[in-house]
Amino acid sequence: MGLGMSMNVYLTEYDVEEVIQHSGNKFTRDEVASLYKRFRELDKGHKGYIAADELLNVPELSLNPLAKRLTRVFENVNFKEFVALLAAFSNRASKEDKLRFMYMMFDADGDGIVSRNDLQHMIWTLCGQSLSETEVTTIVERCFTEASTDPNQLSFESFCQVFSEDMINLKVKIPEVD
Amino acid sequence: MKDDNKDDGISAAPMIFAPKSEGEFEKLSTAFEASFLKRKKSLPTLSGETLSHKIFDISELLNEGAQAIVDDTFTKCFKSTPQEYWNWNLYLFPMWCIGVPIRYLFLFPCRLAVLIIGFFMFFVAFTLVHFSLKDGPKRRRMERSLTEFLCAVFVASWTGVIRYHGTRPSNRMSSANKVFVANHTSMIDFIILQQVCGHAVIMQKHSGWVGLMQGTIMESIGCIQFNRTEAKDRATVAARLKEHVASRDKNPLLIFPEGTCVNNEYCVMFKKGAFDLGATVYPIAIKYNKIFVDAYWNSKRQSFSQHLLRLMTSWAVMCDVWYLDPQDKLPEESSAAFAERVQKMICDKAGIKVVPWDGMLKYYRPRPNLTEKRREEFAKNVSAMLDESESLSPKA
Repeated sequence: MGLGMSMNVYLTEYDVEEVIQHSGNKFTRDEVASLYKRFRELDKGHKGYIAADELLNVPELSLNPLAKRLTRVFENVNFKEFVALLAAFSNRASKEDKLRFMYMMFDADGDGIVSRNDLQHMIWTLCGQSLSETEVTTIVERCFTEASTDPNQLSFESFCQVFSEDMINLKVKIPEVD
Repeated sequence: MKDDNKDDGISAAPMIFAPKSEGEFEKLSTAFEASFLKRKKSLPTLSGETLSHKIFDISELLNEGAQAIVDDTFTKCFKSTPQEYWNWNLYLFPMWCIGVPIRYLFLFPCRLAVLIIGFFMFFVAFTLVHFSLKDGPKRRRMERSLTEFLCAVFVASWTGVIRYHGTRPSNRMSSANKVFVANHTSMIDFIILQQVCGHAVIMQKHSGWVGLMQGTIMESIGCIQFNRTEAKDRATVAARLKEHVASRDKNPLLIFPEGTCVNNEYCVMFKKGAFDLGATVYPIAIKYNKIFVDAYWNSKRQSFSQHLLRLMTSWAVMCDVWYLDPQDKLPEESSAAFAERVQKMICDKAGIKVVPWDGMLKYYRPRPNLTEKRREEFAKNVSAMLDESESLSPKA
């Protein structure tokens, strides 16, 4: 009803530039504007970050086996970081960017290296309670013998080797701003 | 316990309630989960890949997750359409400026007057009829005509431009074994349908003046009210539903199977309650034209009075209503499949999108066991790969 001005808070030119730069130029201005709109929608009360609860209230996300892991990555970050995290899903991101993001998802303890523990953790997350302890150990074992030269940790290079031949299809469709 | 037994007998109504007890929650979730799992494709199975590849390639799940973070289809269902600003233009701005006083200072008072006079006339006539005639078909018929009149007054108060397509239901037809179902955008859906033919509707109890009207007028035309949070209402409603559908001389039943108002762009899961009654289902598709005003009632954000005020200060409420061909449950069809089929008919006609979500997810989160089921599926795949390679390895 109001006069022809939207009450939405817009990012300034300067902010947009900074956000885009921080994401490694992976998004266009329109995409950043759209993401900002979404960010403010999810961030109830405009705290400047999205809390874990607010993320998990999206039913589509809460049904994802990786919901907890994703939430831990995306919760409590400011908009700039939020966009940077999503950069791996942009079609301008390189294969390495995408692999880095995936590798980071495996690295549960955040020490920069995927250990046996990290992998075991991920297998539980993906497979749930239906696998036995021994089965999980076998899978970890198999994955390490197949992929890694080091029996205790999986380096990023070895991780990439697994995907040496195929495209990494990380992508997300950003809604258009109106 | 007693309650539970009753429900097993009549599994009709429970789906229109938000979960209260564990049992209810269970039932609601199961229905939603079944429909969700059916529509959601399972985790991708990569054939001929190594085990490590299968474990390491989590891209599908990440995509799904990132998509949900960036733009999810559930939130979209309940979003009001943003106002599009058409007036920011040298030519149109003066027009808009002229329009505002007309809408607020001329149209609105006129409409308010129509509403007040209409209400007054209705009130006098209704009281006369109600107290001078004995309860019987004649009184009921007159009361029904009066409510239809009141609804017409309401529609006039926001200059409803409503096009009805298809065969309109008539008051003369028997109400036995008929259920009308429609997609739900706002309480005005009910008013728009009511001015054509008196329906008995299943509705959430409201407070304030709406509640007062529900208690008196709507009660008299056979509407069934319940409280979402009242578990004992449930059994009563279920029984009354059955009874209503069985009787011949009541107003035909109208149910909004989504159970909640959706923004008329999407359609959430149809609860199977209305499709369980063994009655013929008459689908109604309602599509609003949002050119002047968005008819979606976001009940969390505004009261019904505010919603009406918004409608009354706009130029017009434009809307298409399609009465579709009646549908019967096919012999082998489950009520859930029947509900889905009717939903598709309605959505195709109105041009709205079906999403697999249960509208009640506004009030509760999906249970973790749905995620657990997806995990199990993946685990099955993985252990199959393990077994395969174990049986292969001795040969190698």
